[in-house]
Amino acid sequence: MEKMISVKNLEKNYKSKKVIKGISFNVQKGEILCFLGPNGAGKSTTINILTGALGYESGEIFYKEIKIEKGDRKFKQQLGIVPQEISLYEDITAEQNLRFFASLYGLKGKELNERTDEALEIAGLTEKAKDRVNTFSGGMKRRLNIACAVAHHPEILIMDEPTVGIDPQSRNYILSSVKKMREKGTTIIYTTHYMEEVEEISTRIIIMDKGEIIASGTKEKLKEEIVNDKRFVIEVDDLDKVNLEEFYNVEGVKNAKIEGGKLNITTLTGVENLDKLIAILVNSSVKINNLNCETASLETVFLNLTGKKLRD
Amino acid sequence: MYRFSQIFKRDFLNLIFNPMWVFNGTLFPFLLVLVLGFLSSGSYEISVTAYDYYGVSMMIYVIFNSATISSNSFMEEKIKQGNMRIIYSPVPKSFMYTSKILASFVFSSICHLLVIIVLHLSLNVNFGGTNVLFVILVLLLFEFLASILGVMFCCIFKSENTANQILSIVINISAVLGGLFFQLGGFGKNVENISYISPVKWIVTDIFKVIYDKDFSYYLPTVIIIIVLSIAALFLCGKFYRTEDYI
Amino acid sequence: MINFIRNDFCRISTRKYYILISVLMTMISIVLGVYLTSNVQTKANIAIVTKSTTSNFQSKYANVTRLDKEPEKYELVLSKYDGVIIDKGNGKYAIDTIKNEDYRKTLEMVLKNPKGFNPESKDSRGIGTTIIGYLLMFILLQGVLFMFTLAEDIELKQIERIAAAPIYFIKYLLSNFIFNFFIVSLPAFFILAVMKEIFGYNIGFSLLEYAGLLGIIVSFGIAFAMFINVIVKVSDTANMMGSSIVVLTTILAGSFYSFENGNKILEKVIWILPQKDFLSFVQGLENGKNIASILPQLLYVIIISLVFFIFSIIKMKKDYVLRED
Repeated sequence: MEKMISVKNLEKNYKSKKVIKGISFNVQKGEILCFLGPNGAGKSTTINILTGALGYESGEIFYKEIKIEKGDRKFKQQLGIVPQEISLYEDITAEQNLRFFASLYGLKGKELNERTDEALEIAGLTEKAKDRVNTFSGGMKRRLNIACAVAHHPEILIMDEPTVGIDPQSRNYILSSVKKMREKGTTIIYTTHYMEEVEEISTRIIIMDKGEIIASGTKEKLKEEIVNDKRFVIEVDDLDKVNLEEFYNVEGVKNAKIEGGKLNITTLTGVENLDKLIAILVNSSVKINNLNCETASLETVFLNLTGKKLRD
Repeated sequence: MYRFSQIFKRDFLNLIFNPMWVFNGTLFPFLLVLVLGFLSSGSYEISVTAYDYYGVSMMIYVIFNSATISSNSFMEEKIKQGNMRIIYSPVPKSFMYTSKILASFVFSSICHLLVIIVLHLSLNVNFGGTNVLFVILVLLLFEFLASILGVMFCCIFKSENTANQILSIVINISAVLGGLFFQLGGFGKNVENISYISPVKWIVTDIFKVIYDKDFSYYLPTVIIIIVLSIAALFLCGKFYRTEDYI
Repeated sequence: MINFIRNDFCRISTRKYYILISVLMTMISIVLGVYLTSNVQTKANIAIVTKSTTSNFQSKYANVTRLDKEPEKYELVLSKYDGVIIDKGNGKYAIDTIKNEDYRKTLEMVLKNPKGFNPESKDSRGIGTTIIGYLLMFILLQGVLFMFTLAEDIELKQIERIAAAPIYFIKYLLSNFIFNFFIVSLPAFFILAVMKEIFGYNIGFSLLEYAGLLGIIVSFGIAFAMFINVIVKVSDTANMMGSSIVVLTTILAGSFYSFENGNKILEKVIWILPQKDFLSFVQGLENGKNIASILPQLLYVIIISLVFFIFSIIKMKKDYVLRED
């Protein structure tokens, strides 16, 4: 697959503190690359360096194998940016905002009109085109924020936490728009700290923490390589009859505990031991009301890698 | 050129649709001249009226003050969010501040020219008669310098609030020293010499020389100094402006 | 209330340049006031245009300059010369001035009796009044500047959080007042004290009197700043409007320079400006006038301050505490 962007050994300091510590990654054509990490991981800083808004101390950035310098305008022409802050003029209409920002990418005349209408449609704001932005809800502003980034048909779309603080309906709309854009061939770099979004849209994930990339790959690969546990959550009628020590004698069991009124047993994924676990419960005359198996999630991946929950 | 013109147009419209700025650029100067002229009218005779004095001095004051307009259009919170997107777009870095300078300059110049016309027609303020174009040229050049200064202060201090506070002090002290609100002639030679620290003093002296004595001896030096200061200030804008300070 | 004041100090500690500007402005205005009163006397400037090397025209009430040729008109406009007496020879003289008819007549009197020239002494300002006059604009500007704490709370909506908290809202406003009061008045008082006690300058009033006068005018400035912010609600606009109004009204009130012989009606209207009344009170105090005769002017300033402050309280309570959306 064609490499759209290559980043090599990128370093950035803020005052005397290293905030990006020599990271390297590639962005393949047509993928949705999600940057995942807690607040302060360096996701937005990395994005802002790519967009040319921030400088960097050392490293190289390549666009289609050609090295680019900060502020390279040919590269910027191919980018569409959805900033974390809502970057709109609130005193003018949605259409006026779109027309202005699209014109900065050289669109004019008939093409500008068409692309403006198209972008409004993508954002689901055609009926609100003539309304001032300061009358919009948070979700509508976020959608317009995206529309302003796509009107000029960029090759690469960079979205920095585009769904922060909006209603579920708008969020779903945005996520489905992201998938549609990918289908049309746009390469998307998406930063977020919402696991569910990554689960839903990503083709590849980069996990960052404290200015470093700590893992990267597809979600399946990450789950497989990093998490080799699965967890059984069993609801029983009488927890007092359960002897936790017995479960440790079963091959593959790593942990057995009672949590939230339920029996939680963590065991290795490769070991088939469910029948033995059920047998222990049956022998103790414990009635099983419900049984769930939880396989590794990205939350677990993240927890394993960083020792903290994503939203800490 | 097209992209610059689009940014310029947006910046200009942001100014013109702000009633506060329009008031500041039109009604405020007129009222200032009217009130100060009224107050001092008894001290003057017919050949030169109080309005003649304050018509010119207050125009210089408000032109200098329009530095706050350009600093506002550069970094005011409401506009800053929209402006951020310009940083991401494929336009030269310099467009960011040059368009604001130009938009403020054009907006302020239009407002102030209108005020000059109204002052002349209603209060018969003498702006130089046949030499009026020379007077207007100096004022326009000063207008341009003021616009650059506003943006320059923002680039240096990274904050519109700070820039405005400092500009306010610099402008008011310059105005007092330059004798814009009241003549300092009666305070003696030492004070007169100190007043030349204020660039406003040279401008007001030059303009009154042109108007009342058709004397252009200060004209070229004044114009050159303003142009040189403008170029220096523009250079400093480029030097101090960083996109990172905007983010 | 202590928490609010402490918070305000934390906020200002990140803006040290505000304090620097404030101290600088205050210092310049006091030094200028002292210097100009001690070293400079406002005299008329008269030019004598004569070929004669000796001149009869000497006066301690005017700076008389001998010139070979007539000065240019712009010099009259800029008050480099208030009047020009031109020696036409054979004892004939012409007078040129752009000042009013009364001034022309005065110059004619000077011609007739140069040594006897003794202009009417005006009610002149002492050092204390001059210092207060120069300080006035900068104190009021600082009142607007340091009201950023309230301005930001309103603009960035922290005030809604404060209004929702279980505290008396008036305590919040009072704490803003107290914080600003100390930040504005202390540097001014300190510099005055240094000039008097360490450098030995005559500053007109005693330090206690200055404390009282500063207290009044700083309170007025803060009340006005609150009023503007509560009406306008956008920090930048309030700042700009407040500063413009302060500059214009303080100059009109004659803080630097007394506007005289102007439009009589407008002169009366100017008395609406609290700054005018305050300066008049200060001048009366320094000239030893009977307190009873100047007290109304002081009371006027205090009442206006209270009106601004009470209005601010009522408006803010209405907007944030008792709101009806």
